[in-house]
Amino acid sequence: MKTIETKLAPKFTCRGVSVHYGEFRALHDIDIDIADRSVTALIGPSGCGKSTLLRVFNRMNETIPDARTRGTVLMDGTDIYAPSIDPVLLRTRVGMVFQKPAPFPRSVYDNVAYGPRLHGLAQARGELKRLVEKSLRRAGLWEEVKDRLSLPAPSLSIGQQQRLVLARALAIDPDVILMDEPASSLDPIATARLEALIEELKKRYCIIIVTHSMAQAARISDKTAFLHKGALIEYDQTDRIFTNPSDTRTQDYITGRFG
Amino acid sequence: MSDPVPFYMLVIVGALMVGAYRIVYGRAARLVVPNLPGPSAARAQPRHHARLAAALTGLVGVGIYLTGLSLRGPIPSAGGDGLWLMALIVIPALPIALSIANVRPDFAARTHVERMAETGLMLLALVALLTTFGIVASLVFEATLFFRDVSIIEFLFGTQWSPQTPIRAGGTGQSGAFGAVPVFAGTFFITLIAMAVAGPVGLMVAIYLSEYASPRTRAIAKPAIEVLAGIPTVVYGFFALITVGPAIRDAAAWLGADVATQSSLAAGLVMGVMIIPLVSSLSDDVISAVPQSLRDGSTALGATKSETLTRVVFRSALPGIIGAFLLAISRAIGETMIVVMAAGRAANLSANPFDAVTTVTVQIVALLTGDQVFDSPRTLAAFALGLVLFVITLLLNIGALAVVNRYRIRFE
Ligand SMILES: Nc1ncnc2c1ncn2[C@@H]1O[C@H](COP(=O)(O)OP(=O)(O)OP(=O)(O)O)[C@@H](O)[C@H]1O
Ligand SMILES: [Mg+2]
Repeated sequence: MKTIETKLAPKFTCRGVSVHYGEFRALHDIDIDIADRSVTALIGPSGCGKSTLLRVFNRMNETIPDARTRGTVLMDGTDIYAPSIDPVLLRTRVGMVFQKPAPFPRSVYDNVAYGPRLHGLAQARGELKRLVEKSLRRAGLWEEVKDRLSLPAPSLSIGQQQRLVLARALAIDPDVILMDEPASSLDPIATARLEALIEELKKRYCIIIVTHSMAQAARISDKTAFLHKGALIEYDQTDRIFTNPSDTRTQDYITGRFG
Repeated sequence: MSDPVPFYMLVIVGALMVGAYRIVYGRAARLVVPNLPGPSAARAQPRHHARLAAALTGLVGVGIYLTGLSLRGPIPSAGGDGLWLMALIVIPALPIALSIANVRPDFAARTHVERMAETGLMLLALVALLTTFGIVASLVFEATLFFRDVSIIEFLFGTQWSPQTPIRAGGTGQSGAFGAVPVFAGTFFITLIAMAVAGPVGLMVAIYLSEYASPRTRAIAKPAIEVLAGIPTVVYGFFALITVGPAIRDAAAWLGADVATQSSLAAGLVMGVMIIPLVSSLSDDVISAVPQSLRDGSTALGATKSETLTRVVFRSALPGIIGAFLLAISRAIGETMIVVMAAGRAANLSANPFDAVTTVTVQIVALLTGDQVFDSPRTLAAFALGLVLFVITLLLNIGALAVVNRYRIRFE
């Protein structure tokens, strides 16, 4: 079954990726290809290594002192763990929305403008303002905060903060967006809006999303990876995973028998 | 009259409290509590009844003790302390009896304990407040006496400080010139020099410790730096006097200038070194307390470590850093020993760091030591200096608090 995205060269190619936290092996020998212009969902029980795998793609695991990553990760055919790659630059191309929203202790506006200011993305007058508005609109937060852009971001509700950090990531216009349970605190309307956004974003970006909602994974993703105890158990087209999984553990997980 | 204060009576009060606790606890433990639905006073545990009894007994006991103590003077000991002792032992039976009677399922002992704790804490806070108030009141009182002799205008704006030498012969007797400007200027100048050293260095040390040092380095370096704060100030003064002062003098001589060993620069530099750990240790604590998730958020947006530090971490830690600076400034203003030894006692009004200057605290010591009539203007001037210093530091604290609060409210 050949689909359009498997014909394209993959955005990421992981071979034999393992991550250790000290002595603890959080990810074991992962081989996975992530297609560009598509949504890949990572599912699995809590603690199975979904967030760890997500952080492999933007080298965020390196900020954890005793974390070690092994194996090969290619992005557009380039080894992103090669010594010549600057992780700081990599992260401007691979954006990330964390599991726990952590807005900076600044205003809503300054939070979204943080990345663009850092990288000098908006030079002309008024351009930054437009960029901030555009990012907030895409994240579905604009209507709620347009009159209070100078409000300190930490005083937003958790659901609003989750969309704010999404807007913050969108503002630097990365090629890849990693989302770690971006809808965990969103109401159904905001979730639907987020899913619509993901649908739109995938026309241009590569999106990898961690979710605990089977329904959400089924709705929005093209391919789904099921992780269990640090191993990649099954990785296939989403409809196949949800209708006819080949591993009983996947079957058990998606039907809610464990995890 | 000069009988020793009978502290042993307090021991009796303590014993009574323990007794009350035990008795009531025993009673309450045997109390059959019907399992009432809904929030009910019956939910009180035996310990609540017992604590209430002990507190009540203690309150009555201490009350009798204090009453006895105050009556001892006016009423010459009729039967020695016997009557007093008897009252102390007998009267607390009342609160104990009351507490026993209150051991009922419908008595809200738990609520009362809560209220008691609240009142107790409030009283303690009040003690601290009253103490401060008392100190200020005595300062104000003595300062008022001083301002009867010396005009407040002269004191606040005069630039001549020589309390020892009478300048108006036959005038107000022994008084000299009491223009406090040079003294305050000296204080702030030395504080400024000290902060110019301790501020940047302390902050850099804090940033290094919290952001760049390995956990092992940090574990060794932090206590090592904190040792600096433990060195007695007189040792610092010594160091300033025999090492730093001469070094400055020699350096100036080498450049062709002739300066004294005692200078505000020597005092300020050494004081700065002394307060480095105050700034670094507290700043390190607040910088380390900035959540990792904030740093990660910035890193994931493609910020470098130093960008994250200046744009996110530092900003989040700002209230704490201001607090650290403030503490360091208070310490510098209050420091006396280093200044006496390294900057001299001469009240020069000079912004030249090589001149000898004096500070408020040094002058207070100078004014209050030696043979002096206690109500001479010279002695009273010490209180006036103290009062003005107090007002200035108070304003400083209020100002800094306002800044801190602004950030707290907006960003936490
Ligand atoms: N910083 C860390 N130090 C040590 N161990 C870690 C660290 N982060 C994660 N782990 C461990 O690695 C394993 C995988 O963690 P990870 O956060 O990737 O799980 P997850 O699949 O995202 O779980 P969840 O769904 O609960 O978010 C867990 O067992 C966890 O305890
Ligand atoms: Mg996770």
